[in-house]
Amino acid sequence: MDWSLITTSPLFGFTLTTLALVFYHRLFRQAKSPLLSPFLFALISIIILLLAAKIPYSDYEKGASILSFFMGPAIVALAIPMYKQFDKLKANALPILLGVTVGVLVSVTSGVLLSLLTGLSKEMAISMAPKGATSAIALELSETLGGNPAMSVTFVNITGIFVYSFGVQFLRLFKIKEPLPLGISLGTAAHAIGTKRAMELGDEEGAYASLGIGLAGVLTSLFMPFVLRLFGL
Amino acid sequence: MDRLIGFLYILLCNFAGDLIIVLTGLPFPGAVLGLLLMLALLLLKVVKLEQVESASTLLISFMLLFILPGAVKVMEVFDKFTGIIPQIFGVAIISALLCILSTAWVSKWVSKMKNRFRKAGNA
Repeated sequence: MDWSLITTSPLFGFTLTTLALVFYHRLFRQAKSPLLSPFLFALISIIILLLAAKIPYSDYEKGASILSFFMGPAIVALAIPMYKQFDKLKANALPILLGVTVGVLVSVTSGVLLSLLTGLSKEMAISMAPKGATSAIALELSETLGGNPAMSVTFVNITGIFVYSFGVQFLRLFKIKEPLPLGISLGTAAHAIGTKRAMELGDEEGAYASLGIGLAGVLTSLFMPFVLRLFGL
Repeated sequence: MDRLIGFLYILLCNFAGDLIIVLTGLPFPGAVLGLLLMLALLLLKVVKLEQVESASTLLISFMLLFILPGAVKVMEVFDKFTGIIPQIFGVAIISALLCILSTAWVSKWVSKMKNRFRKAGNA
């Protein structure tokens, strides 16, 4: 039997992706650890399956690309939670905007600078730059600005899981305990995974973090081309 | 049907964002411009929250599913990671710590300054 008849159908990649995510989501429903992330396990499982069964990525992509398409509309949809928190943004516009601006510049610049200093390739340095933004935006930025989108998503996940696990303890070392700086910084540095951590701290922290995701995504898109040009990339 | 209208508004913003980027050649993701357009339309009350809320909740709750295929693509670039995994983790982690600390510190400090200023103004 010729399995490629099945694996080259769009239904294969589409169903496999959905199945893997739903499976681990159910399995880890009670889990608290960020390492037991349904996304991470689904990702590893799909890769292992494709490699083991010698199914080329191009087969998987036929169905998967239908899912990727919806990333654009999903990014646009992020405007709605931002709009809902707009009163909070207006009331604290200065601390929020300045905090996120500085944070994004530090994240992008240090990502590129440290990559180049440790001898990573230019492609990797560019892919590292948007790692604090939400995956969907980081992927787009990496694609347009000469990075590798798949690498960027990997770096986004490393960042997110690390900040989820240690971010709050790290900030407490520096006596940062107020909801606004806690929430905003978690959302800015670690997108949706950081926001999940902020929501565990409280509703107010969670609201600030979801503002942080949207703002950090927009500001990263705005600053990244300039920072790259600064480094001659 | 209501959800479909919301979805249409979202698609139109995404489309307009992409179109503007193509026409201007700006190095900016079309979808992020679409996000800003949608935010502007909501603030200007051209689009009402009720019209787009349910479609946006659906799209955002499916976000991981939409990102996963792009992440799987990393299997095609595995060989580029050999021998440099410690550097990659080091860079990502140090840069994230610098980012979270600077964001938190600046926003805390500016809040404090603002409150002090306001108190001085009231006195």
